[in-house]
Amino acid sequence: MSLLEVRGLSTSFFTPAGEIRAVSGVSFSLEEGETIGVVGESGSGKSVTAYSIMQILTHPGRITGGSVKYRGEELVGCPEKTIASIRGNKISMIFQDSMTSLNPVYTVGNQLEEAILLHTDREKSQARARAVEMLRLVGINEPDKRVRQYPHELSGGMRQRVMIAMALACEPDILIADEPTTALDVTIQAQILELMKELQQRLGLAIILITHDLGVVAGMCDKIVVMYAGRIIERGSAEDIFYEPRHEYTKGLLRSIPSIENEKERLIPITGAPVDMLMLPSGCAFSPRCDQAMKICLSELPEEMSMGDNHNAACWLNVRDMAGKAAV
Amino acid sequence: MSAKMAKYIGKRLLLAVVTVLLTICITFTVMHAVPSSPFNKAKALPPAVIIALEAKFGLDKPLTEQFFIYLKNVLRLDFGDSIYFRGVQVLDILKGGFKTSATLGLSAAALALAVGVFLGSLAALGREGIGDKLIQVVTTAMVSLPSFVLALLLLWTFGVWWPILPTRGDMPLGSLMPIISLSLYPMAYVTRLTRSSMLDVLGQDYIRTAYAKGLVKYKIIFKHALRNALTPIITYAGPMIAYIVCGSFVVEQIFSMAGLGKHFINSIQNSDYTMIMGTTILLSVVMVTLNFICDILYTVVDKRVDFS
Ligand SMILES: Nc1ncnc2c1ncn2[C@@H]1O[C@H](COP(=O)(O)OP(=O)(O)O)[C@@H](O)[C@H]1O
Ligand SMILES: [Mg+2]
Repeated sequence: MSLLEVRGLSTSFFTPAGEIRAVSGVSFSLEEGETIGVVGESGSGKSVTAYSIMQILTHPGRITGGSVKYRGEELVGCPEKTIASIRGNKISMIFQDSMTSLNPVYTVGNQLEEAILLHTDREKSQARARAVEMLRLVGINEPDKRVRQYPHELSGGMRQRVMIAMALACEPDILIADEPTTALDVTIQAQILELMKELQQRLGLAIILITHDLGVVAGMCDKIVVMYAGRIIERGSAEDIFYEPRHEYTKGLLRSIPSIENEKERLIPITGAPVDMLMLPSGCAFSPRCDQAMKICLSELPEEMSMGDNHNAACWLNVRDMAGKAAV
Repeated sequence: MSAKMAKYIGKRLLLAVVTVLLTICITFTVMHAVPSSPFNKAKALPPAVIIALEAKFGLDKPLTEQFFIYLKNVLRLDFGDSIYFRGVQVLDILKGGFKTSATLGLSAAALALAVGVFLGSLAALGREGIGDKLIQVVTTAMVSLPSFVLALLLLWTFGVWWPILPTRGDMPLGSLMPIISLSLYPMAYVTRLTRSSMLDVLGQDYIRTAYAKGLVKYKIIFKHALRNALTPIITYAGPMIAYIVCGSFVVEQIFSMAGLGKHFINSIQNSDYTMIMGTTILLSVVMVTLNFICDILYTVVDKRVDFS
């Protein structure tokens, strides 16, 4: 039994303009202590996938199908009480913008203690002690002083550390990190990723690392899934994705990573605008932007196909290549 | 309290004092610029008597001297005798009126805030539901109805057509209709303000964080959302107080209540200099004090307020 098992998860936003299928049939599993990277351009449904797992979708979003199992227990359709006791306790989440994700009118300590008081039977004073301990753990100096400060009194990097401390205060099994470093500058970015890695080893944490930046997942993840228009279009190990990408979209993402060795190298962004989620093409959602697109790509949705051990891609080109090989 | 905040409060306090001083100064100047002497109204007094009276009230001295004497007295809470009601201290008249008006005004403000915030939160919670729609329609009607029209409507409905409430403010339960007349407009306004502010706050990232922690809805609404949603309401409290004070002038008249409003209007009709000045100064002190309290409250609720 996996720690977290997501099967066929689908989520839509029912807007006045029509149904937006933000997530369509997403499946993956997460084992204890593992890190899975979820990558894709902005708007590809990464955050909505995470909100669906946590069931913190806002109006007019709703899970329309599929299953999310935590240690075998079904979360989709479970009572509010059950999922509330898992949120922040067994599965925690941190967000991109630590400035807006912390409540400006309460102290850091107050917000840290909240989850501790809620999910453990610690008293108020013990909760404060735990808050200080957590701040120390995430590398914040003078934690006794920081607990009494307000979010706006801290730097961006420090606030993201507070978010991590807050998420880990109840010793969850899973941390979902939604673009945790996107709002930070490069040096701080590296520090936060380093911190997450270190804490993962110390606490035996499983991490779902969401990012639009393949560079971020490179050194962090055991498994990577690539999302486009609400679907997983390729998945595999970090080596598979970086050295043998089998989907044109993944290749495009790789070409757009700035390389550290070669500063003068030209970055090639993927051409074309991300797909209009209200008018998804009937074939492969990426086909309008794909320069290798064939006729079938426009009319039929490719399923995920195995490209080897735990390496899948949903692209008709692979079928053509395989058919070509078979013919020879 | 930080040094920055202390400085901010000090600044506000200074501003408040200056405002009151300016009010005294302006009222004094205006009062003495109008040509009518309080004594040439009352029938035909012999000139000798008028001169004697003016000497008694110090009206024969140079203006600047009169001003400083007046200021000194005001600082000792001595507003002099009423010119119209001989031998009665302005302060004594004001004390009675102030008590009536303050009770009326504060009750109306408290009612408006309590009910407004509650209804606004409910509307935001059940967004686009029947309750929300109903609240929206009713509050839209309310904010377009001036308090004196409402007062007359209430007076006619519950005082004449179906006489179940007393029509005079000084009778038992008599303050019920005046309080309602005064509070409905700000109540409707606060409701709408709370609703939109609450909806705005509920869409903020920190609300999502609160849900992600496992907090339940009511805790999120009342701890994380309400306090942030209060900021615009506190900002509105200043103008609301001004509205209630001005509205109470008319409402007090309609319900025959002996509040500050009534004294103010009477004193103008009677050219009662000392009363006019006393009432104006008292009103300005009340307004300035309440606005000062709002400013301070603002910083207590929202720690990000820039103290500059
Ligand atoms: N509140 C919302 N209302 C309507 N559509 C939404 C809402 N939130 C997200 N979406 C849709 O879901 C899609 C996926 O969004 P998201 O998961 O936030 O993307 P990302 O991969 O950048 O995290 C977006 O393209 C958008 O069309
Ligand atoms: Mg996102």
